Amino acid sequence: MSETSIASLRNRDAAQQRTDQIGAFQEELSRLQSEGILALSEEQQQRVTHYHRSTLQELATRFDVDTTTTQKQMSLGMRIISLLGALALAASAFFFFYRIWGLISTPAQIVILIASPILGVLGMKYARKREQTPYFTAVLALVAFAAFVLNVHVLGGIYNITPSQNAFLAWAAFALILAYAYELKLLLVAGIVSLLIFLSASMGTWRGVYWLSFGLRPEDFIPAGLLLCLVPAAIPHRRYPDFPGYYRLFGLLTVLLAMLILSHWGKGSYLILSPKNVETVYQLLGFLVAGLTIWAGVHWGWHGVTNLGSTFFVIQLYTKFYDWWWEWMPKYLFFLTVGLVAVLLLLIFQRLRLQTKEAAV
Amino acid sequence: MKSQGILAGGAVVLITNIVILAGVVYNRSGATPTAITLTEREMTIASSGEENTGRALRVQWQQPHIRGLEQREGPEWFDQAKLEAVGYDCHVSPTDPNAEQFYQKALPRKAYMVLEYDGAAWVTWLKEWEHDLDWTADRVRRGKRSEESLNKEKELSERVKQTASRLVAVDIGWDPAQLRRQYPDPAQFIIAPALVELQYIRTDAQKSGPRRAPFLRGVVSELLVDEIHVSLEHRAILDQIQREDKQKPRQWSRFGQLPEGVDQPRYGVTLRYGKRQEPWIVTVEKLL
Repeated sequence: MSETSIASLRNRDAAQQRTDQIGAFQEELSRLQSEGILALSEEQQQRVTHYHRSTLQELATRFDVDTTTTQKQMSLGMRIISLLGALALAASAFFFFYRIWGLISTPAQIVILIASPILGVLGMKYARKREQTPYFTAVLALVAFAAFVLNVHVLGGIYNITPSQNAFLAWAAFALILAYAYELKLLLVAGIVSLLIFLSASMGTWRGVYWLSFGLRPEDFIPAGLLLCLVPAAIPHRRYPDFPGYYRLFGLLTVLLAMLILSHWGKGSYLILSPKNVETVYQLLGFLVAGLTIWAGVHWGWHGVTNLGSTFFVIQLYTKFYDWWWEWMPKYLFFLTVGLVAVLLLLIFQRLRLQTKEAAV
Repeated sequence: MKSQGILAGGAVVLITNIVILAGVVYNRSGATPTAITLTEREMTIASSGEENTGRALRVQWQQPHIRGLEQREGPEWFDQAKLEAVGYDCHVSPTDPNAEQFYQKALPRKAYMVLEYDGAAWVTWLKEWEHDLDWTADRVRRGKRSEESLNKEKELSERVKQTASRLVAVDIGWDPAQLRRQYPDPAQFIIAPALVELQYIRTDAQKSGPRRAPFLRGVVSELLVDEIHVSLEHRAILDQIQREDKQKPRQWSRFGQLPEGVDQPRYGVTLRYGKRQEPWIVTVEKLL
């Protein structure tokens, strides 16, 4: 692979994609050769093999990609361990502070609280310089985030400050800055969730409601979820090709979940209608939005979005079946009906898939 | 990009802490010149568990409509006009057929509560207890209540009179400065942020008094800062009392009464409230 081509790969994920491409090509070439479809000359075979070997070596050196299935499995294991370790260390930092803070003076408490997240961030910088794949960096990132949450929360307790939702804005800013600086998806999720809570709680406070009551009105989450979905459209993410998917997924999950809850809990709506009517409105909206989500996912090739839309469509459908039939239908007949509907949906999607294939040909 | 990220992340931490501490300085810069001195009856030691060595005092206060073994509608002074003053939309008449549906949508709001310490409201509240006891005694005479329930209420009433918190909610409002002008003595009146809720009282749900048309009433459900942190220099007395109390398990007390076996408050706490109505402890002194 030419120097220019490798330099154009922006991050490890792009390099891993290229590695997987090469692996898939090698497998397909081997199959074509064994079936007599394609025969490369000795010179061509050597040139291709040499090119792929040097490219994979270069990618492994620069980006620490996984070149074999075993390596991939080990990497997955390391990511899981990294997550569990990070959560455990973050919890440990929390509990340790609560164990010691009553025994030290207020100035000492403040110094520890402010220094902890800053030291965490400096630790991230140190770790990142020493590893190609940011396992330890991710662990330190989550610990730094937990330390900052503790910092703001405990400072509020020391000075008896009236709680507000603004803390979530600070936590979101911290998490998102570090997520973009180090391309850490876990911190991106923490930042998105914090931002979601801040936006939803603020919707309530703009109406004069106390911010902690935002959970009592799922509709407060809907504008926040929609705003999140618009982030990738408003802000280009050329250097972070995987990040837009997280905004879309969490944004749509929030919207669909809020509608699902309201389709069963009409009392929780702002609408001045009877609970039954509210539930009907949100059931219809739920189906509509789930359908639009599936369409958007198929149209723009967002696989996660398609799956999310399909899941919520099916959940809405099955909960309606339950509402209509569970009480009076014999149980075997209920499950038989649900199963047959699933078969019918499969046939419909199979038909659509065939039509799409024919259109492509 | 990474070094910029480090700087930006560090800046967020520093700026956030500066904003918080600046708010604290602002709150304490305009502190009321006179502080309020409360006792163990009003400031009980909050339980913290073994994993937390921090110490806090919980503010105990009385809601005028909660007495004895029953809870009544909210206080009479928290009427529809007061609800509108704290921001509730009450344009639908309570007698309207759609009123219940409309008012069930009302969510809790933040407002400012006035707590009076050991004043007329406390005396009135105790008188209401006696009135309730007379009513229960009358029900017992008519065979509608048991003697046991009357004895329980008498016992509770006596204990409350001797050991419960003398802080009583007397007013609510949107503007703390305006409330302070109305209740100017900071040694007797605390103004603190609280959570309020709207009640729609239907005719069939009214617990006492002559039947009325449906009406609106407000309720203060909680103080937003009901636990006040105790710093290291103030906790010696409280730690000693906590150690003594570990020998006798404390039972839950609805009105914040002192633990069994303790008939007098053992410590006094001086509090100050600042410009943002956020409190802090000035002194903790032993009384017994």
